[in-house]
Amino acid sequence: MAALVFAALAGGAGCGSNPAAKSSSLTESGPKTTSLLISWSSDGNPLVPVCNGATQNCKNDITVLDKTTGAEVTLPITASSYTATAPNDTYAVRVNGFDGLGNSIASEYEVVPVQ
Amino acid sequence: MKRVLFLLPLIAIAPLVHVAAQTASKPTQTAPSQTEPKTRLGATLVRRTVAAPLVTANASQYTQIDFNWAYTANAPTCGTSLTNCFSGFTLTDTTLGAVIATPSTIGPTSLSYAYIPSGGVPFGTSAFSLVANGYNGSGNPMTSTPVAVSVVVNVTTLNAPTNLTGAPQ
Repeated sequence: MAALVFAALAGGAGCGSNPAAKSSSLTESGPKTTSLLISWSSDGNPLVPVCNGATQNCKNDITVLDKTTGAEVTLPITASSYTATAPNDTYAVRVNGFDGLGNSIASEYEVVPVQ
Repeated sequence: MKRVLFLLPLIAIAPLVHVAAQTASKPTQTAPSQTEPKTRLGATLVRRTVAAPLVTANASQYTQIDFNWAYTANAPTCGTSLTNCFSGFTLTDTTLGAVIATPSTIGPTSLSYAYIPSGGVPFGTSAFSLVANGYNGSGNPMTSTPVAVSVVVNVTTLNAPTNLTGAPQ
């Protein structure tokens, strides 16, 4: 009987559970951050046409830069999110395209603010 | 970072695009006894306003092109009889091969025309020509040598994505 009561208390059941002990248990077994979901609402250039093979006056793709490692990922201009696998790294995003002379142009890198 | 350069009679200022307009003329087409519009054909870009919001995604922030020119007619304005007279002007988008306006819209006393392209002014080069129209003594239509103007709207900068956030998963 005494063993049953002890087991119930240790599991946090009943009115007599210890809040401090419960909090400690959650910290130890809480979910670990394994990725960073980077998202944006617009590519920022609604008036500029998508290149679709053209090389003048258009927006072409999006670059996600891992500023910690220097690695880059290129996404379609239509993308609106990217899941990074190194959540503790610092990321930045930019838009790439072409000007009226066919020169490659890009926006400034926008650093991703982590929530 | 955002800037604009507009070369020709009139000026427009806007972010994101490079704008230039230029005139060139003297094609070979001739039309006896119908003088051409003076080569001072100009075009001005008019910016999009809050009241005239974005129409299509492929157009620039310009919604209107204002044309203006000079002209000295060498025939009287047409009346009820369409002979030996000057009836007005025809404006054509030579890039698209489309007639924008005819003498029924641009009459003989007009020296300007405000063109509002459907969907807005596109990026890139848009070329236009203007001719004077009239009728000879037999009542046959005549046109003058065309004068031309081009409007260029170029992308010069791009913006970064907006509302960028990172959410740990």
